[in-house]
Amino acid sequence: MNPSVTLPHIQQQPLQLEALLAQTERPDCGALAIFAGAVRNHHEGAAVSHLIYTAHPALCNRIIAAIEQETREQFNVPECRIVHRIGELQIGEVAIVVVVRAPHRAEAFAALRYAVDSTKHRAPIWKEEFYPDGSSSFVAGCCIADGFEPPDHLKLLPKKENT
Amino acid sequence: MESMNTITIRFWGITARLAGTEQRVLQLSAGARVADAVEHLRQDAALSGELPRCAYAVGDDMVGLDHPLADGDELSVLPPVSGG
Repeated sequence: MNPSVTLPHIQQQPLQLEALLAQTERPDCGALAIFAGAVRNHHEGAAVSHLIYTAHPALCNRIIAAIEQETREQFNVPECRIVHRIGELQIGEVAIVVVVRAPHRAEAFAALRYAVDSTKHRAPIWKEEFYPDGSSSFVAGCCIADGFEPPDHLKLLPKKENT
Repeated sequence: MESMNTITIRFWGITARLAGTEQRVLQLSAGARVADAVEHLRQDAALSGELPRCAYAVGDDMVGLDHPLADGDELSVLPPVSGG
């Protein structure tokens, strides 16, 4: 179990969308794309009563910061912020918020999907589901060991060279 | 007498459940690598099936199996992730 954690990208307190919007406001961005992932009351046909998320805090914080930077560079968007909650979450509570701001909607949508999916595939966070009978299990996740390839849409594009 | 390093293994996610603990201390020969620690963990029947899907970190850095371990290192065992 994690001790009390408050880092830029990982926190135990409820997530505050309004704060992220205020921190990322820009006059040159006409597109604001937001994803919020909330706790569902079912998974693969089984009823779920609540979840507990744990994370390797410092490593997770560093990896999410890297995903934000990649997202900004790959999609040429000025703002990308990702925050994930850990600890015990009840049904309906928000576990992850991602905010992207860009001049136009096309790059905002693409960047948002990359940031959300990359966080799910790479951040060292683990989800334990609890069921109404009191039992629990860890959700089968994405392997981050060497040799396991990410899906094509999460592979980094080669960096553009200045000519 | 052979020099030994003390390595603390930190188990995360399902590996903590399988190991029955969040951490374990190993004594490994000086010069041992991550692979040597993993080989030791493979002797735990409950853990061994999960280890091929695990990644490893020392402190806050992801490391490969050939990464050398130093005395006092904390080696994290990172099973498949499931955030979001």
